[in-house]
Amino acid sequence: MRFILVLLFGKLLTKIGKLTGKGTNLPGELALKLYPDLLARFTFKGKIIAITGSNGKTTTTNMLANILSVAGYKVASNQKGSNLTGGITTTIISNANLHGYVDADFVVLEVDERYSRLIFKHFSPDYLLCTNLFRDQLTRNGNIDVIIDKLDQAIKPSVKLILNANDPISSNLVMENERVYFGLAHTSLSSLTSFNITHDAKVCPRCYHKLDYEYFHYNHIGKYHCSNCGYQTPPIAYLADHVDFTTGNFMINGFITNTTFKSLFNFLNVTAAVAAACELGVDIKTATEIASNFNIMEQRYKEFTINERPALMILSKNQNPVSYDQSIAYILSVKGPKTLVIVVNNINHTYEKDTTWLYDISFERLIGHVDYIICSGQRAYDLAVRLKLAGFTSDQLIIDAQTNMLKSKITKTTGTLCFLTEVYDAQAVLNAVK
Amino acid sequence: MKTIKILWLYDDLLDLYGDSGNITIMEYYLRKNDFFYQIDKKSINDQLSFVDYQLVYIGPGKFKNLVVASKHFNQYQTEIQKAINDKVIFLVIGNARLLFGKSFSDKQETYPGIGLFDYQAVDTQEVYISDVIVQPMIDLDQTYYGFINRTGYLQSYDNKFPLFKVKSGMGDSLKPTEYEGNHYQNYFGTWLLGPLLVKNPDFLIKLLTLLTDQKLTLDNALEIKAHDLTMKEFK
Repeated sequence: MRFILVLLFGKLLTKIGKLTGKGTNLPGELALKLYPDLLARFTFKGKIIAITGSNGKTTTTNMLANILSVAGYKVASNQKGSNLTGGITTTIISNANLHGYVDADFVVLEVDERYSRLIFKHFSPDYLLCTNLFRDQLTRNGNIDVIIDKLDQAIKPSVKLILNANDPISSNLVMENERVYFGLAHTSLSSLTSFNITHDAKVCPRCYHKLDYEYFHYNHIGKYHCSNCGYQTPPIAYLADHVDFTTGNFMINGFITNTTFKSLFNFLNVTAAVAAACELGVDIKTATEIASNFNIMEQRYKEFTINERPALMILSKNQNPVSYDQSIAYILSVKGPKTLVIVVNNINHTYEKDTTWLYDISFERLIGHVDYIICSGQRAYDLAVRLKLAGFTSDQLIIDAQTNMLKSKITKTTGTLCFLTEVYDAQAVLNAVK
Repeated sequence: MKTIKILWLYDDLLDLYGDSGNITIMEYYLRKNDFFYQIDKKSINDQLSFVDYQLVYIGPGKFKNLVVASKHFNQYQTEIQKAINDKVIFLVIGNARLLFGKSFSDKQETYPGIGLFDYQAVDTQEVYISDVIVQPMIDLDQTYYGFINRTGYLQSYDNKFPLFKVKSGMGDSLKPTEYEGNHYQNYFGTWLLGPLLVKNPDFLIKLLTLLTDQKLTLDNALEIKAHDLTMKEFK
């Protein structure tokens, strides 16, 4: 009886939340306060697949849910990236009937890697897809080993893993479990040495010997081999190859696929979603066709104009250097003269003034490719120092901590405006330049 | 001109985040001031010798990696102690300091350090963060900013060789301590990230003076401004 009441209460809050445009987390959080074992009480008609990892999980989750829906299945999913315990609970509450039965064919859940152990305490996914593991928000998460330990404890022996063969770190997750790998073959943009500062797998995750790479796609993602213990890129069941960066065409196991967003990491995200869909029973021809029609561009990249001047908003995550490296890779693909606007504030939520993480981002790659960089936000001067050490000259750097001064600063510059900001700061930046 | 030689130890294993910035800024000003310099990276598969080097740098790393590095490092206990007594500069950041104490432990095991200092350390896997304001013991007129982000701490000990006096924020231990870090001969060990040499132009000058044996003038108005603005936020 209490379960039904809490469920009703949760559903009501979810409805109110939908009306107010808020409340993807809160209904679940409150319901869990009233009924801590709530998640143990649900029953599921279909398989549950969880998607976790440092980067790309929202894109991969949304694409997988889209493939399954378009293929004709009923899908329950937390598509707005509300991936903590509250968000997951809200998703399940709103998809369950009053008996706690979720009649979706598939439940597709994006799960924050740090919370996986808590979320899966009371129920377990049938499949877990891990996109990759990188250093990410060390002030909150701790280092990758802490995350790996949490995942190791969260993943029950029955869970089938869908893993990125190009990532030596996540490929090595709980080796006892059944697994299947997706991966990307050498491309024209893959390199012999990593051009990024952040490289989390310089040594073998099993024996700590220096890890050799045949090539890198980006950061530590590539083809690897340990000459000491033999650990290497595993056999790939879902292989992407023949990547054409001009058209966005590529092949997955011989099936032509297309993506509008032609970055190396995105080809892997698409391949991950297709691999998961195939594991869940969609045939690969259908999966690649649906994936090809999915528009990823709008999720992290937004094109607009400011007084007829072309502008581009690229969202990154603070203290997540790989997300900035990916944004930088994207900026390098933008043609013509460019002015970059970078906003760096204090650490979200805790407000410390640390900027150590800026030294993990390969700003050096931008030298010669952008004309000016406007440094904004509370840590504007610290950012400017980082850029000076990367090789930018003082006349290229325009510094003003006040984000509301951006409008007057950008008028002094030329070229496409590329805004490189943290997700949380994006709206303030847009308001300032309108 | 003599080549300045810097040894970056365990750059592959001890690479927690951002601390390459300390090397980047030293390199930047050595280059600007036309010094010949060489930075060697060495790790557990290399033989170590300290005699040729003017500065040894070790940054923070994941605890499991630190354990692996320590087994290699401990083989050179005598050579390291000799190098420190011969006034080779050591810049040791974050949990790399654990290598220089008596021992360090996690929930399962205790590992020996080289015993240069008499502290013992504990790793908890819980993240501690703190903005820290300190004054260097060698120049109490200066104030520095640093950031602590660690999963371990040093158990309370009688710090006979403190590097900094703590004005605000966390020190060496679990509870706030009066002093932070160690300074012995030319050994400088601290928890402070930032990166330390980037955030504190005065400390960089002191270190480069030691390293080059020359009083350098640096074109560092930008770093000074960044430092002063940070300091203002603590007033």
